[in-house]
Amino acid sequence: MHIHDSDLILFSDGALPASREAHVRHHLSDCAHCRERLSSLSDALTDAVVAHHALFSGELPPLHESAARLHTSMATAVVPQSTARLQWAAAAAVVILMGSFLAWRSAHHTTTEFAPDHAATPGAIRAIGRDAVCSGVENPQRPPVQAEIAQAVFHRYGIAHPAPGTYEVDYLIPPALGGSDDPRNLWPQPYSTGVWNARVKDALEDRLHSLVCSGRIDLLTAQRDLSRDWIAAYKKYFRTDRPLLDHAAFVKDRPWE
Amino acid sequence: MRTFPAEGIALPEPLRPESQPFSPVEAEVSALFLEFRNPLLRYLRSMGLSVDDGEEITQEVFIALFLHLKSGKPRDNLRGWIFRVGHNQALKLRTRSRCTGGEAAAHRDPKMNPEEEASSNQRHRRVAAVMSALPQLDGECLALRAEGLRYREIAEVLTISLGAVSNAMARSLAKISRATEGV
Repeated sequence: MHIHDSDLILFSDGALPASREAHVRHHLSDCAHCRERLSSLSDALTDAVVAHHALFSGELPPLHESAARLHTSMATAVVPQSTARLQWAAAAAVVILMGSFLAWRSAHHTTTEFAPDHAATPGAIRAIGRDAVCSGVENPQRPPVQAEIAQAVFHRYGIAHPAPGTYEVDYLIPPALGGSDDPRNLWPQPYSTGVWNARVKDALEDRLHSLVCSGRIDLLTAQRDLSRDWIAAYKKYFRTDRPLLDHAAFVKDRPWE
Repeated sequence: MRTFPAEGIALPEPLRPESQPFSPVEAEVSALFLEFRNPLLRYLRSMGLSVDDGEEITQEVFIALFLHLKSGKPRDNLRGWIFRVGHNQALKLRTRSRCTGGEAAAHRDPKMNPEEEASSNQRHRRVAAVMSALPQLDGECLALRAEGLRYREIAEVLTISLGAVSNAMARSLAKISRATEGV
């Protein structure tokens, strides 16, 4: 009585129960037919592995671009509340404080120092790498945001009647650093009011572009720092707690009209 | 509009911003992504998904893994976890595609596969043809094994018994053996 193929297959992977494995091993020592069968199955599996990889390995998108996308997503991912049981009290307090802050911010839009709502604007990037960002192929001039998209962004932030020239519908991660025009990457930033305004962020974006293209930081780091907290990134990359005076007059992007 | 005049702005020197380090969980997921992204994507392609759909599911899987680990959930056999979640997501996508009249995932026509047509190796062509025509379960077991999973892991990924896996493998390997006889 020969060993069935299915047992030979499990035997080859060490997946048989000990007693059954001992039986198969003993049988194989005396049975040339089953040894040959085991060898044949092994050859067939090798053929299958080679064919599988030949079919599907050559068409995979570059790994580094997918990794960059994942890193950005992780930076903006939020652990579901129900799973953070140990921190529920602190989280609840944060929610209450954030609610109060959002209500206050809604009433004081013209003077507050504005930061994106990470739930509405977590950031989004395109699948391009450093070479594309720095090659000059990427147009440093931002494509104008369509009026419908801009209105949707304002609506999402509770701004009913934005005064022309006071906001920049800004990319959280700018196109020059691989940011996409996905609405999740857009937010209304006051152009001239507040300390941390759009002019200051524009200066940071260009600084990051320069650092990426000179090889001093990688593109992923720049994207992640912008998406997490652009003000903290500014402080980090300019080594200052307040915007540099030069940047108050830094003009790059047109305000929304 | 003007480009950034780095030299026109007074910067504290030396300016050596240090990359913000990954959190331990981000670092762990990144390492797992580098190890298993291609195997998972190949497996999803073998299930008949397009490259774009496979890439989307792969991203979803690793974000789910990030949240899974971030929440302190079990971390035993993460390779099996990754393939199981990816497999289930692919099944959902295929179901949605069928419900919406989209392109249903299907095994490739071996006669139409460009890789096979381009191949000059008769043995590999025959093997590829057999694999392309395998029943769904048999093909999934074989593809998972080709990506290095143990048979017990395959049983967990597909939520079937170990015996069902070995029987599926036996059928597939027997067909391949017959197809390559004398080649």
